[in-house]
Amino acid sequence: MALDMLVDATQLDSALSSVADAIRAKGGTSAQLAFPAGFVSAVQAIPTGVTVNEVTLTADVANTNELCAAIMPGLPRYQRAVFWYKTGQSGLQGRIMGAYVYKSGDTSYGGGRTRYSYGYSANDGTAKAGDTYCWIGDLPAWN
Amino acid sequence: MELRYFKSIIDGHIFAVGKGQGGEEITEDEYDAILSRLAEKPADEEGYRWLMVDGTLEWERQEMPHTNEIDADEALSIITGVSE
Repeated sequence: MALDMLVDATQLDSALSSVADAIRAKGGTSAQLAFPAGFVSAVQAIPTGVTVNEVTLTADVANTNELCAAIMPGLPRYQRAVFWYKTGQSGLQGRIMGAYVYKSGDTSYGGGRTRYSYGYSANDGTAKAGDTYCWIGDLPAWN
Repeated sequence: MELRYFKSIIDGHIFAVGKGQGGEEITEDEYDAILSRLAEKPADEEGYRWLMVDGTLEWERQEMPHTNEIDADEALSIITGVSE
């Protein structure tokens, strides 16, 4: 019988524990990981990145209500998210804008208006068909 | 994760299409069809805009609505970024 390699069990156990600790830390879990299947499934469960949402206007918008309804339709109450311009607005590509969206008729925030904040308004006529906006990740829960 | 496509409808017109959260879910084929149709949008005319009809994807000309008026408080909140 030939032996390819002798393995120190204590050393191997220590090494696997350190790998498992790293996987748990990255995956945000404290669960025991059985080798190898547990390691594999834990690595596969680690999120690979954030979701990037993208929306393209197909019409010129007349006001901020339309802009909000077009970009983030169906929001039932109040949301905020980090938006940025992808294309369309001359000189603004890649710049970030804040967004505050209020459901029409909800008087809890700002008198029930729908609007954007941080220096952007559809009133300046820059929200045009073909403009594309992006935002990162899931929209947060209700405030 | 499978990519989700959606469209935003206002009064029977498609105002936007997107990938991710929001709106009414559509197929990738419909998403592509709407963007292809967008590339065929008629030329702009002063005081008017073109709206894409949901379902037929036909272009419909509409007089540009007046922009919304804002009061002083809202103007201040837009400038400062403080909205509550």
